[in-house]
Amino acid sequence: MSRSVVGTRSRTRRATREALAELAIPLPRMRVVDVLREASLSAVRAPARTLLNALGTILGVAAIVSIMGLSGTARGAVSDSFDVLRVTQVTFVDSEQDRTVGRDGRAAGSSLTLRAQESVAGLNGVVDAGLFWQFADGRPQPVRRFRTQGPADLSTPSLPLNVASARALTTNRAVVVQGRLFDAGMEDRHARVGVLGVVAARSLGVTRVDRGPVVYVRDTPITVVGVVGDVQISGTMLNALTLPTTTAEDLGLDGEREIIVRTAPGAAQTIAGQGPFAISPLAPGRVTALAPPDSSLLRNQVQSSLTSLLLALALIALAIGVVAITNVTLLAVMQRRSEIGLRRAMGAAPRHIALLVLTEAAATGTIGGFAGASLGTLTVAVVAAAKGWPPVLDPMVLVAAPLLGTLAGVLAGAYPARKATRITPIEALQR
Amino acid sequence: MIELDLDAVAVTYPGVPPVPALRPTSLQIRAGELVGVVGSSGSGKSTLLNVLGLLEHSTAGVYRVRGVDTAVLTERGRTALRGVQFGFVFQAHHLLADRTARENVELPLLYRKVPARLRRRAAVQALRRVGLGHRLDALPGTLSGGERQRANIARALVQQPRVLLCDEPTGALDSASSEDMVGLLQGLNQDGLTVVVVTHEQWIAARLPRRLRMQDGVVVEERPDGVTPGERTDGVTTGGRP
Ligand SMILES: Nc1ncnc2c1ncn2[C@@H]1O[C@H](COP(=O)(O)OP(=O)(O)OP(=O)(O)O)[C@@H](O)[C@H]1O
Ligand SMILES: [Mg+2]
Repeated sequence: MSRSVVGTRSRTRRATREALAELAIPLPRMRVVDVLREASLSAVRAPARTLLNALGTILGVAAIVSIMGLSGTARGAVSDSFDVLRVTQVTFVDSEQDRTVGRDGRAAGSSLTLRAQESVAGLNGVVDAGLFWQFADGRPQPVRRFRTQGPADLSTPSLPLNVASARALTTNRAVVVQGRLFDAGMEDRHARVGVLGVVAARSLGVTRVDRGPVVYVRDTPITVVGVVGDVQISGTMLNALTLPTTTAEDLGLDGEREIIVRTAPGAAQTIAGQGPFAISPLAPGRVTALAPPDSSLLRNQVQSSLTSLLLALALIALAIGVVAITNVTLLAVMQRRSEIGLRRAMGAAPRHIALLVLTEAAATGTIGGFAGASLGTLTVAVVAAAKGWPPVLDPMVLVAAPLLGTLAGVLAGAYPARKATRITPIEALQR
Repeated sequence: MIELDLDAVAVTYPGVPPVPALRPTSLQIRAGELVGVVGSSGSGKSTLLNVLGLLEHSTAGVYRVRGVDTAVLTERGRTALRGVQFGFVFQAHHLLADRTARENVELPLLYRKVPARLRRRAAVQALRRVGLGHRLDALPGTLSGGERQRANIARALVQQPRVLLCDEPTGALDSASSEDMVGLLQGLNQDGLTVVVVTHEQWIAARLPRRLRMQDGVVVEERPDGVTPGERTDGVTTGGRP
């Protein structure tokens, strides 16, 4: 046998070109429109096969869209409850360089004043705002039950001294167990009044406030108008004596001031941004907003773990989709061996066969992507309606979904296309 | 002019034992010839035809088309030559079921970058030539066996091949349709087309001017006028390298 004769002759492109030139035969070529036309004709004329092919994409893309949509919707619901419960509080403090306290105990020009408090309270989305500080960082100060001449000794009770505007008491949701809170009128009059926390009242031996008991701070008589039993924001009030801001300023009791703001749900971010301008319009940089760090951090952690989990699920769905389409496309290629062989016999080069399979897979993938996106959207809408959540679906997901289908089609078509190029024309004839 | 030239070409299918479907054969077919190939089932007729049509690779020997050695061609080059040089008519019609007669006939032109309008015109012409001008938009499933085979021939003719290779083109036809088919092939041959027909029907073989008989992979030249193979000048040698 002279098999070797065939083997040793070089089958190069150059030799091919020369041989074909001798016979005046061009290499097979296909127009792009014809590739697209053939692929879409095959897809349209065999709708059952196309549907079967698209099924993997439809399910895959539908899974991805509904996972994205449901995670967005659920996340919206979760963050809604977080926001309503927690993120309705903003605290404004003086920026670092303005917190220096003078030797006499007065703040060196803090922007946080009663006027600033009123400006903040007037902002849209603010429920209440109050000026508050602790004298000497909350270190206990001697508070006597009776006026005495001698120096303070160990038997003298000591209490932290809090300073709050009348508004701060309501902002703090102070709950009165006896008497009343001091009000704005008393504050205006620089009244020598104060409010005791339940713990402080017990340690001072104040059991009733109806007769106006008096305690002495730096020998100034302070009439106790009420006892508070519960507060929401600043727990330090329970074992402290709390004085109006005007009175405290008279007594030289200053400290690091803050304006505590309670906002409408969802307004915290906005108020945090606007607050410094309301407090210090000429130098907003002197004021810093503190959003409560704990709850937002928690929320972010919950969100990011939820997102990565769902993203992983979506990717698995995509992978399953691609494998499914690959299988079905491969099956379709095998079923169409004779058609492919026939095209080869009619002059289609292997690359044209690959192109046909790929284009058809891409077209099928795109159709599946559209159908899947619709199905996924429907799923999100139905689930959201059943749960009573507002459906949240990023429009970009809907734009990307059909493209994802195309991509899945191309990915899934690659291997079958490669397989299809191996089909020889002779296979068309052996049936 | 020598159109197709087999020089000690053989095809052996791998297997245990290997199947020598075509033993080393030297054979020349000139332009404009009308050649019949006969022989019993399994004798290698289809194998010979497939090698001639570049559908099958030979495992030995040299095959030249119009003087060009086909062994130098890459797969794409082979495809190019096959698509332009040959038209195929098979026993089974092999039309795409989801394409109309016209679309099926256009198929070979798709790979020659022929614009749609010209494709359409050529397909209609070819279908008229085989007498199917009235069924242009019919799907193959709605055509009769004879009509399908004529659509098949139209598709083989649409790119104006130099050689028509037919493997039992009348195998699925009744005798009247077969008669038409043979007349059609003879007409095409008279127009200058080289035609090679595999058939197992004696009456068809009897009407062809040149005849090859195959037996167990061996090609024997046979002439209807009874002249013995040895007397031919352009004859056939078989059974090993010359
Ligand atoms: N792909 C193949 N692999 C192995 N053997 C094959 C293959 N194709 C054909 N053969 C064998 O080669 C021999 C010749 O086959 P071929 O198809 O050429 O016969 P044929 O003369 O056309 O027969 P028929 O008249 O039945 O069509 C047979 O023995 C067949 O079994
Ligand atoms: Mg056969």
